[in-house]
Amino acid sequence: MSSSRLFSKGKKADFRREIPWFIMYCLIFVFAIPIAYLFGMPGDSTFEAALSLAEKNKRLFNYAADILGMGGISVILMGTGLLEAYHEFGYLHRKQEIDFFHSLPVTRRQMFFGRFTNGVKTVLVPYICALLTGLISAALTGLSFKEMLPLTCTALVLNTGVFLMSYAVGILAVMLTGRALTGILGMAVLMGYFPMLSVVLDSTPSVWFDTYKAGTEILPIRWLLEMSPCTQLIRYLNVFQSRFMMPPAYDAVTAGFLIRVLLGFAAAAVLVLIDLKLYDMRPLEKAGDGMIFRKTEPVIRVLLVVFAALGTMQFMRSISDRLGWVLFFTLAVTALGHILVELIYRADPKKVLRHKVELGVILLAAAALILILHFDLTGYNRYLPKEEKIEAAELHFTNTSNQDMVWQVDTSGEEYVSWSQEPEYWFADPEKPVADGLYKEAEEIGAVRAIAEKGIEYCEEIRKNGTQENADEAAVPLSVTWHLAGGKEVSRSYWVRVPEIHDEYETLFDSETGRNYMFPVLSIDTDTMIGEIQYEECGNVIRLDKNVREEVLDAYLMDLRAMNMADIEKKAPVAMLRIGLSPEMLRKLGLDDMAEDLEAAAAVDFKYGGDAFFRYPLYDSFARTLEVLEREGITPVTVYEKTAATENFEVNGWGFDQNGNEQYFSDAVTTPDDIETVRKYLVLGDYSYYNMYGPETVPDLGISWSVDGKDYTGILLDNEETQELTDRYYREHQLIRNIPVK
Amino acid sequence: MITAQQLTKRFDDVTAVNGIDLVMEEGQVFGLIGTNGAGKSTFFRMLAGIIRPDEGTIRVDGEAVFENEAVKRKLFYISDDQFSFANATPEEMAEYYRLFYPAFDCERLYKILDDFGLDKKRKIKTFSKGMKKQASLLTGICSGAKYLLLDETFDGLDPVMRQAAKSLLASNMIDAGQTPIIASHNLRELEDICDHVGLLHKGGILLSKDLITLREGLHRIQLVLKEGMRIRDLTGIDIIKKENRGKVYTLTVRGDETDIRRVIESYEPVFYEVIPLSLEEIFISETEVAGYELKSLIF
Repeated sequence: MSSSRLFSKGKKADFRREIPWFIMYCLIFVFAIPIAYLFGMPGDSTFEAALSLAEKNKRLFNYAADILGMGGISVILMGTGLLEAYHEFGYLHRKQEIDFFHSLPVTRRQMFFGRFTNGVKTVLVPYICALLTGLISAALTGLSFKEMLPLTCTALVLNTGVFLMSYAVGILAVMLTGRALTGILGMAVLMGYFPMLSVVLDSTPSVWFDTYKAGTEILPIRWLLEMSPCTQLIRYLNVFQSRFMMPPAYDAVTAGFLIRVLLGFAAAAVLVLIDLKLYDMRPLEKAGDGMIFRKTEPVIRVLLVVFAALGTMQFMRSISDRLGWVLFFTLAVTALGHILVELIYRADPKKVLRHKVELGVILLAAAALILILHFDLTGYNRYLPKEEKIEAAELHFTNTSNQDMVWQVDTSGEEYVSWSQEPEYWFADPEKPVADGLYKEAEEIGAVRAIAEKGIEYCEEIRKNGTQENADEAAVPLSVTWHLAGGKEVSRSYWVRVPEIHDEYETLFDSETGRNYMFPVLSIDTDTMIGEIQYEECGNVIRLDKNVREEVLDAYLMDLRAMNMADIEKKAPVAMLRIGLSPEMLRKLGLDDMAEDLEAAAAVDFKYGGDAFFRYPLYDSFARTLEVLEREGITPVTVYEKTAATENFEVNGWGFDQNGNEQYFSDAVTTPDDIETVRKYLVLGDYSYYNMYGPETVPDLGISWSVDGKDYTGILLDNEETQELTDRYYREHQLIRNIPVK
Repeated sequence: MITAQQLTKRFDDVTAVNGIDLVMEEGQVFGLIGTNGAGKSTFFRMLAGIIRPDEGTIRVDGEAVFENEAVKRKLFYISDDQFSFANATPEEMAEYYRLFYPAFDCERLYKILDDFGLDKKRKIKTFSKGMKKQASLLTGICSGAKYLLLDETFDGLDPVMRQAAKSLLASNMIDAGQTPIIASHNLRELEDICDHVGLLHKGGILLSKDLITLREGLHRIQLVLKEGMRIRDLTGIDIIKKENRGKVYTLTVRGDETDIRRVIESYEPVFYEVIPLSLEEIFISETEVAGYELKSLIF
C-alpha cells in the first residue's frame, strides 16, 4: 500500500479528531441551506393575491437562488476555505507536530495531498449533504425537485470553485509564514491587498486634484483588482448572480459562463500547484519564524509599508488640506507601519530598524509624492489642451437637469397617484445618453475651452484663498471631456461663475448639439417612445387627450428647437409638459431598473400600470405649443398678468422667531397694491428645471390661489417690489428668513 | 549503518551542525553527547528526514534519508517533546503508527505498557512528563524499526525506570536487531548502555570513539615512587595528566595496560595501583588534551 494511501488511512483514523470540525460545518450548512429554505422563503400569505402562480414561482425560485448562491453561502465557503487551510496545514507552525508527521515514512507530496483532500472532504461532504437536504426543504416550500436540481447542481459546482480557490489561498498564506499570527495576517493580505490598494489609488485623484472628474481613470489600476482571489471570488458570485437573477439567462448555459467557471477552477489548480511547490521547498526548521522564505520578506514589507503611506496620505488629505498635518501623519504612520511589520517578522524590538535605508527611501518618496500632489507640480489642475489637438469636447453641467421625473400610477383610468423622484436619470440610460453632447464645431469647441479656462482660474483662486466652502454662490459645477487627436480622452471637472460664461453658454445652448443634449426628447423616436402627455401648471395637472398627443408633441419639439437664450433668460416657464414613458418604453431605452421599479410599485399597490414622466419646460415663446393647447382650452394662468381672473392670493412662508424656532405663516394678500404686485410677478412655482440664466425668485415664500375650484401654487420673481412685500410680511409676523450665523 | 559525511546545517547566521563526519554501526548503541545548543536535535532531525541538510550527506544503509519512504521506515524518531493526538491513548497512537510501520507489534506494546504500569486506554495528555516519555520509548521499542532515534528520552525518567528501559533496549537489540541511537547531555546516563559515544560541541564532533577502545587505551595509575625518584624520571609511558598529593601521584596514562605495568614495575615503586576510569573521567582526559574544559561542554 502506498504511503499516500497510508496517510489517508491515517487521516481517517484521525477522523475522530476531525469530528468537531465536521459537526461545525454540518451545523453551518444546515442552517445556511435547508433551514434557510424553511424559514427564509416567503409563504403564501406574503404574496399578493394578484400574482399569478408563475410569477409566484419565479419569485420563490429567485429566493432559492438567493440562498444557494448569492453572498451568504459563498462567503461561508470562502471563510471555511481559509479556516480549513489553517486546520490542515497549520501544523507547519508547530515544531512538535512537524517532528511527528515528517518523521513518518511518508513523502511531503503524499502528505500534502492527504491533508489537502481531507480538508476538501471535511467541508464539501457537509455542504453536499446540506444541499441534498435542501432539496427536501425546498419541496416543502413549493418548489419542485425538477426545478431545484439544476439550480442545486450549479450552486455546488460554482461554490466548490469558491471554496477551492479560497482554500488554496489560505494554504499559500500558511506556507509563506511560520506563526499563526503571520499566517492569519497573510491570509488577509493575499485576499485583500490588491483590491484595497486599488481603492486607495482610485481615490487619489479625487482627493488631491481639484479638477478631477469622478469616474475617470487616471492610473491604469484596474488590473490590480484582478490580482486577488477575493476579486475572482466576487466575480464568481457575479457570474452566479447573472445566471440566476436574470430569469431568461438561467436556461441558457453560455460559452462565456462556462469559460469563466473553467478559468476559476484552473486558477485554483495553479494555486494548489504553487502550494505544493512551496510545501516541498519549505524549510521545516523555520517553524516559529515570522516568514519562512526570507526572500519574500522585503517584498511583503515594502508592499505593506507603501500601502500604509498611500492610505494615510489619502486619509489625511481627505480630512485636511494642511500640508504639515498630511506630511507629519503620513510619515509617522509609515514609520510605525515599518516597525510593526518588522516586529511581526522577528518579534525582536532590537531589530525593528534593521532596514533603515529602505524605510528612509519610502519616507522620502512619500514626502516627495505629497509635495508633488499638494502643489500640483504635475500641472493636472491647469491642464488645457491646445485647440488644434481637440477633435471634440463634451460639457456637462453637473447640477443641471433639464428635466425632472415623476412617477405616476393610474388607479382607475381617471384618477392617478403621483410622487416625485430625484432627477437621477437622464431621459435614457445615463451610461449611454441618447444624444452624446459632443461638440465638434470650432466655435463650440472654442466656447467649451473658454469655459474650461474660467474653471481653471476659479480653481486657482480657491486654492489661494481657501476651500470650496467659501466659494461664490454664483458658481456651478461642470465637467469637460476632451476628445483629442489619436483617440485619447481627458476629463476634468470645474466650478465656474455663471455670469462669467454667459456668452459661451449661449453659443452652446444655441447649437444643435447642445440643444439635443440638454433636451434628450429631441433625439428619440417620439412615435414609439412617448406615451401619455400631461400639462402641469402651478400644482395642477391636466391629462391631454390621446388625439392631440402627437400634435402637441410635434409643436413642442419645433418650439424647443427654435428656442434661444433670449427666450429663457430671466424668464420662468409658464408651465411644464410631462412626457410619459411606459415600462415597456423605458426598457427600450435601456432603463430596465426604472421599468422594474415602476412595475413593482404598480403591481403591489394598484391594479393598473403606470408611467414615468419626465418634465419639460414650456415657455411663453413656445407659440406653436401654446396655440395647440389653447385649442384644447388650456391657457397658462401665471406670468405677466394672466392671472387677472383671481384676487384671492395667499402668501405662505416660513422663517425663524426670536428663539430660533421655525415658524410657518399664511396670510391673505389684501391690499390692491400687493395684489397687483403678486399678479405682475407671479411665476410657475415648482418647475424643477434648472436654468442658470433664469430669473431670481423670492426664496421661502409661496403664493397660493384658487380659480374655478382649482388650487394653484406659485412663487414670485425677485425684485425691489416683491422684496418689499416679502419683508413686510416677515416683519408683521416677527420672523426672520435665516438665522444669523454666530 | 548510518553515515554522515560533512553534514552541515545552518539557521540564518548560526551553524547548528558543522561538517560532521560520523559512522554509526548497526548492532551497537551509539550515544551522542552535547550541551543544549550543541546540535544534537538538529542532527537527529536530519537523520530522521525531517529537515534537509545544507551540505553533506546522511545515509542509512547507503541510501539518503530525506524524502525516502523506504529508508524512513527503518527509522523511528522520538523527539524530546513527542507529539500525540489530542485525547489519544497509547493504544490509539499504536494503531496509528501501525499504518506506517508494518512490523509494529501492538500486542507486545500493550504487554510492556502493563508491565510498566501504564494504562493503554488512558489519555496520554493526562500522563506526567516521565510517563509520556516512557510511553514514547516503549512505543519506539515495539515499532519494529531498525534504528531507534531517542532524543533526550531518558531525561525525565526516574533511575529505576531508566534502568528498566536500558534493559529493554539491550534485549531488543538482541531479539529484534534494533539499533538505538541516543542523544543526551548526561554522560553518566549513557555510561552503562552505550558502545560508542560521540561528543558534539558547537555543531561539530569533538570526538567519536568506541568505549571499549577508549577504556582500554586509557588508565589511571596511583603510585608512590622510591625515595629520590621523580615523575619525570619515568619514561616509556605516555602520561596525559598527572596530579600529586604529597608523595602519592595519580597519573592518567595512555597505552596498553600490560606494557604500562611492565614499565612502572621496572622503576620499583613503593606502591602502585591501576584504577578503572569512568566514562566521564575518560572524556575529561580526552577533551583536556584537546584544550577543552569538559565541564563547559557537558554537565
